[in-house]
Amino acid sequence: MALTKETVVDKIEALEKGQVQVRTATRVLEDGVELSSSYHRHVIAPQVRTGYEKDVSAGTWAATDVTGEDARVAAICTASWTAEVIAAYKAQVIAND
Amino acid sequence: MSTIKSSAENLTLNADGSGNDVLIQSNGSTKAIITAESKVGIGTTTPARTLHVSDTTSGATTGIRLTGANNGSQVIEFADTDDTNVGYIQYDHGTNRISIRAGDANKLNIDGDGLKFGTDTAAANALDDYEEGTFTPTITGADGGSATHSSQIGRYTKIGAVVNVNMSVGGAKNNISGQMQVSGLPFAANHYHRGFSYEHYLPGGTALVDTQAIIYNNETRIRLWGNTSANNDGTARGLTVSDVNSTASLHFQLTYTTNS
Repeated sequence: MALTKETVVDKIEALEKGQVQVRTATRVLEDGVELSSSYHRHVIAPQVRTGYEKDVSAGTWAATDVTGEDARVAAICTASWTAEVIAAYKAQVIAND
Repeated sequence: MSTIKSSAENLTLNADGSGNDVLIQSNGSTKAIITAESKVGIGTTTPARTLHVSDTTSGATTGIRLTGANNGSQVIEFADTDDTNVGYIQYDHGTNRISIRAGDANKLNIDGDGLKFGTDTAAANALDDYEEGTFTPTITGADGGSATHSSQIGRYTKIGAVVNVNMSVGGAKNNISGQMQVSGLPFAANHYHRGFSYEHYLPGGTALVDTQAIIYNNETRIRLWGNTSANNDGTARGLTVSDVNSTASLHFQLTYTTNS
């Protein structure tokens, strides 16, 4: 009887405005059979605001650092975050404020 | 091959006598039985119900297969002496929908959209998700910066499009700049959600008599407002880092919706 624990990214969702929603599953297994599992979620926005500025083009934004993210998550972020998507995200945040 | 055949009249298998069963055997063991009590057993010689199908092989899948046309349906009906289908479980291959009937009325449907109640067929009304989990809330500033956190507890339950969140987050204000916000919700909201109140503890900071929060459309952050008695007329007053002496503890119980 061997108990093991594994943590895997089991769901990745790319949203219209560029956020990438990530679900991480932590599973406890006995001889490969799952005994329990739990989820943890985080959402990665394409940009981080570093200052308040109504102008989308102003230099008060920084690209989100995906270092440390799961390789598949990082790849999807990179593919999703086109210039158009980033602009749409910034516009959404500014409109919200 | 040996055959028992009757072409001109009914064929009777008769285990005559009280308590005698009809057995069907193969390869030296009984595979099916019709008992004297009118119970049919397949894979068991002691059927507990009128029809009892059994395969206790470790890991085996025991089942009953109903096969029909790809535009037909299969049904298991629950009848009584008053009603032939007061309840049923039905699969319709035309709509690819399984329906559950109880009390002589359709109560539940499951199709590609999710779970629907009664006679509702609208995709928008389908319940398609349930999930529980955790997330990590962070105190941030609208103009940048993040707190040095001492506690970050976030739990969510998602039922369909509705996300229920319970979270507590606290720490030193560190380099927060501008209006305070809490980031890190587990799902992006699908529109503005206003009118939330929150519990706060700002030792040595501004005394607030009214707290309000907004979840922004298409975002995962909550913007915080906090009114003092001097301006408690409903006018929004942003909770800023200047309201915090050194530390803040914030507690939320809120519900919002998402498209995820």
